[in-house]
Amino acid sequence: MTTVHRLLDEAFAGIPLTPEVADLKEEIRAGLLDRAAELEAGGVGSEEAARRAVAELGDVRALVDEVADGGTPAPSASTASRSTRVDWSAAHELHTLHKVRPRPGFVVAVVLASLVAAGGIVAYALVAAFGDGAVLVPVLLAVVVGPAIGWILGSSLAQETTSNHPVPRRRAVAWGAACALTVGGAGVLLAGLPLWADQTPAVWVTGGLLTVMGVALFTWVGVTQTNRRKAWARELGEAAARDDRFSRDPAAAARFGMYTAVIWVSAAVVAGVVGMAWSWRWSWLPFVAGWIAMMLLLATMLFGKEKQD
Amino acid sequence: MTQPPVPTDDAFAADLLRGHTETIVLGSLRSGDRYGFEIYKAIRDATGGRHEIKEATLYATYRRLVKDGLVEAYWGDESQGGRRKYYRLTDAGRAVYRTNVAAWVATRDAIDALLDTRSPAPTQSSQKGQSR
Repeated sequence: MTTVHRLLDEAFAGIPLTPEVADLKEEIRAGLLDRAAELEAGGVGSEEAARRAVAELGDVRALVDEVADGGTPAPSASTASRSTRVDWSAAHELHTLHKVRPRPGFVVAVVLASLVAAGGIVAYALVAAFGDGAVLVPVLLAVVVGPAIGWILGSSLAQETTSNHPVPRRRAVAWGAACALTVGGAGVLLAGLPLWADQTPAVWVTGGLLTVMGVALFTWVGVTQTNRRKAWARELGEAAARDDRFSRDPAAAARFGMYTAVIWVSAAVVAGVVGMAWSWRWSWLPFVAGWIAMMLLLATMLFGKEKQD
Repeated sequence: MTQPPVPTDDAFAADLLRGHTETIVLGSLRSGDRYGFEIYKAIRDATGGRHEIKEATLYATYRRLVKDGLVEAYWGDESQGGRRKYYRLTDAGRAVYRTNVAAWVATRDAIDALLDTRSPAPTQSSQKGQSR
């Protein structure tokens, strides 16, 4: 098998070993070893097997050239997305080219589901505020609102949009179920709080269980979720990302992070002081001030005039 | 009418196959993650060993697919042999696969109709005869 490694080194001789090229070389190495082992199992001698495996590979030079260039341009790739700056007219053109209109039936169904969900939430709040404390009504509402919102999420994910491919049906169903379980479970759980007159442990146990199941399902689909952004949108996003100041100057981004931490810690301290010394009723004010300060800071640091070094 | 035995032009067939390399790779990843040589072997075996897509072509294809976000690559750690680079189909890849297959089926039907390769089938040819 040493011949495989030697022949591979020969094939890659004189090519600068960038991370991409090194990655390709290791992948080819694994493939060659597999192929040589296969040939040897068929009765070919070790040397000959290695030589034949390398010969069968095809044109390695052309492949390396392609990898070193960052690949041949995909058919849909525009020249604009290749440059470092985003050409907005080209971006717009790409957008119109790939435009996907929402299906009318889907829009109608989502509006209906939203109405059901909104109505359910309002009714839930009203029952919580003025109801006679019966637990059955909020539980029923939660059971309606949860699936409605879950359906909106699941069916939206299953739609193809201008920049996203549709999520496969089963995964979309999982997202919807996770959402329905979490929202419905939370609704049931809240109905089990001492806020209501006739509370039973069964209610909050069920609610808690549903919520935990929903969160677990969310975690699973979230962890296993893969890319669904279309290629043109990804390229455009990458080009745009290279264009903003925090990507060009990571030090500025780090500075912004530290300022933000200082702002929020200060806001929390001031809120505590205000609450204890004066009134807890107004203790949220420092957080608003902190948010304003952070946004102004973000505006100046991300979009403000650049300092000349 | 019986058709004469068609001499298969290997270069032509290989060209046709190569034109669908990306879709074929996406399709072979549908059942689960695979490494490069596994995909190569699957293609070779599916064509009965008569055709193959060169490994170099496949490696270039993998990179293009990764770049477009249609597959994700990761290095597995294996005890036997060397480490292998695995490919995993993304949701975007799945969607593109489905679109491409739909396009292929439509094209294949159109070409079949144009080249009249389905003439032995009695129902279709009689139907066509009526419509004409």
